[in-house]
Amino acid sequence: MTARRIAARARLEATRARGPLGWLLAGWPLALGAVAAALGYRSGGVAWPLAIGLGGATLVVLGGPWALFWRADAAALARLPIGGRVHLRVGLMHAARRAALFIVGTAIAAAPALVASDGPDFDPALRALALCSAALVCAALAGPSSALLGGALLAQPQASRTKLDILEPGGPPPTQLLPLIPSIAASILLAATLAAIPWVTRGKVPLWVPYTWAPFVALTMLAAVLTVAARAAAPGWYRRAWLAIIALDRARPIWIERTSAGPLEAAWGRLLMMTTTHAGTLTLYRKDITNLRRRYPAAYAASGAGMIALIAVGIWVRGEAHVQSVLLLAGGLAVYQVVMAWRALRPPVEHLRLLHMLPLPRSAAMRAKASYLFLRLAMCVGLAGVPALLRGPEPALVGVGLGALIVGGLLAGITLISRARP
Amino acid sequence: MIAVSDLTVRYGKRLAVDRLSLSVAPGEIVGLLGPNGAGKSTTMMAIAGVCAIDGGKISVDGVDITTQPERALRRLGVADQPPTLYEFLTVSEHLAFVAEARGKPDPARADGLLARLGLGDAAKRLCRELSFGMRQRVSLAAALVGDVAALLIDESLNGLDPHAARAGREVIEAAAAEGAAVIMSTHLLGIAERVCSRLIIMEAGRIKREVVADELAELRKQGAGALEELYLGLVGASAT
Repeated sequence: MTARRIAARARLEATRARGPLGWLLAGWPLALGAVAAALGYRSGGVAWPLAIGLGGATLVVLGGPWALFWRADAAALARLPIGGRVHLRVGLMHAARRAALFIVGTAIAAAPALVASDGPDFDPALRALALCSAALVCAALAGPSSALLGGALLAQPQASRTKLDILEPGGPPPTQLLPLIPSIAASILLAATLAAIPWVTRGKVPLWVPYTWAPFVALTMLAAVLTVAARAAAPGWYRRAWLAIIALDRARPIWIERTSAGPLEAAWGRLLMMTTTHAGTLTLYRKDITNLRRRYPAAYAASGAGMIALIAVGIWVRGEAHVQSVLLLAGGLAVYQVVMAWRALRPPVEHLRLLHMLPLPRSAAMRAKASYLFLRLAMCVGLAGVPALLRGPEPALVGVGLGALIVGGLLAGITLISRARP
Repeated sequence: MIAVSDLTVRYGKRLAVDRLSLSVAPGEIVGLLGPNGAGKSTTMMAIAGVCAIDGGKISVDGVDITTQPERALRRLGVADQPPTLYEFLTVSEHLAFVAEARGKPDPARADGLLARLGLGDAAKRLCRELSFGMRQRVSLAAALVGDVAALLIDESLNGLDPHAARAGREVIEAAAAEGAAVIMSTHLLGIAERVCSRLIIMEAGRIKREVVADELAELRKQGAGALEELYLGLVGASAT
């Protein structure tokens, strides 16, 4: 079995699972590039392409464990007589695919600067694109390779004592250690790329002189060495690492915090009960909250971080960038809440088949999920956007924008909810 | 009481269930047997209101499931295959949710069911931590919480260890003794022979043969293997 055949089968499965519009969802880095191109059209700067390229590189490296060990088909493949090297190659192909999407996304974002500028402005955009591309190539190589190193560390016999220690109540889920080495690799890559940005994009050196490319070459060489080392070690390490990871993953349920609705969510539930005639709405709402909080705790942390960022931007960012930054951040938060509402429709949060076997009307399920979405949008976009309204130079514009995001998010969510079928 | 008349279900061009009629009286346990693809699960899911029907009528406790699904489902418990459980709820939370949805939250009954099914110690565990057999039993318990008058059990006793299988069997028999109409789909002929009061053997979406109570009693008298012989004689050729 070759890596190419495995990757082709995985793509086929993903295409069938996602449905006809799945490729649109899978190509989100391109959409991000298009949004960035639209936003940066007037300024023609390189900040947006750099942000997408570096953000993408970080995601690709941190996604290493998912590309290698936590991929949907990894468990099924590990049961087959497939060598560690093939598994590594499959992981590398997954990472390369994602990196390629980000390279195209960065190119789209850089397009206005490349097209609109003439003369000396052309160079910085091209250099930024080259730097981001190099960083993404490194990321595609470093992600799975560093994940294999992380997995091998978890599989070491001397690590068992540490594993036992962290299995004590209060410790983190043991496989959280797996992304540790990819995180270090991502930090090194990010630091090296950030350090190279001023030299590359604003340097006086000509574009076509060989030493201009030194940072790109150095970064790529570093990742290539890591990959060669991982490739050599893969036959011996992959299976042991995978076995250690599944063994530790089995212990993970005990680390799930048995949370249920928070005070605000509970209060909203009581309010919901006053406005609905069917008791099932509250039953479903409470079940959704409990499931979402337990399954996606990081989403709550991410939304919280996004709210803090929106408040900070609303208070401290001044000038022309104020409205743009506030709406961009609020838009991201709104989209994320719609994604959470979509998650509330899918297993393990919802089993539509089970729902249809219970005496709960469709309207109760719709109302419960729409209420959850409204609460999230009101908190993350509405509440966190208040400082921007109070302190910003254009409160009316920000108010209209935030209102449109809440209404638009709610409509998008309700459309998703109403189309769900068992 | 479960009453099905002229039930027809199509999957595209394929006829999965062809004008099937059956009725199950309160206290009766009807076994639905047949080879894979015979239409047993489709019939069960149609009765549960989960799959769209192309013809016929289905009523549970006198209520039409297609026109009044909410009312009918209050009285119907379903243990489906594979068990659909909320993975991030504990066993007792899952049962409480189902009972609440049926409008009869009764923690004592849920605890009693768990104890009878040997799941007393698992009440506080998340559903995702459970083994296959435990999930089957939780699904069975979830079908029984609330005030159900009819039960659909889709291969829920498969894969259980002998103790768990006996517990499951006893719980189903107890539900029938309390007046529930039970349809049980299974491939375990031994259990079907022992538990059911009547058997329906299906093939290609139709009823191939109905084994009534007297006939079933006669088969029991003939000893182990009699039902198997009857079954294989009826559907053996097409099942392979």
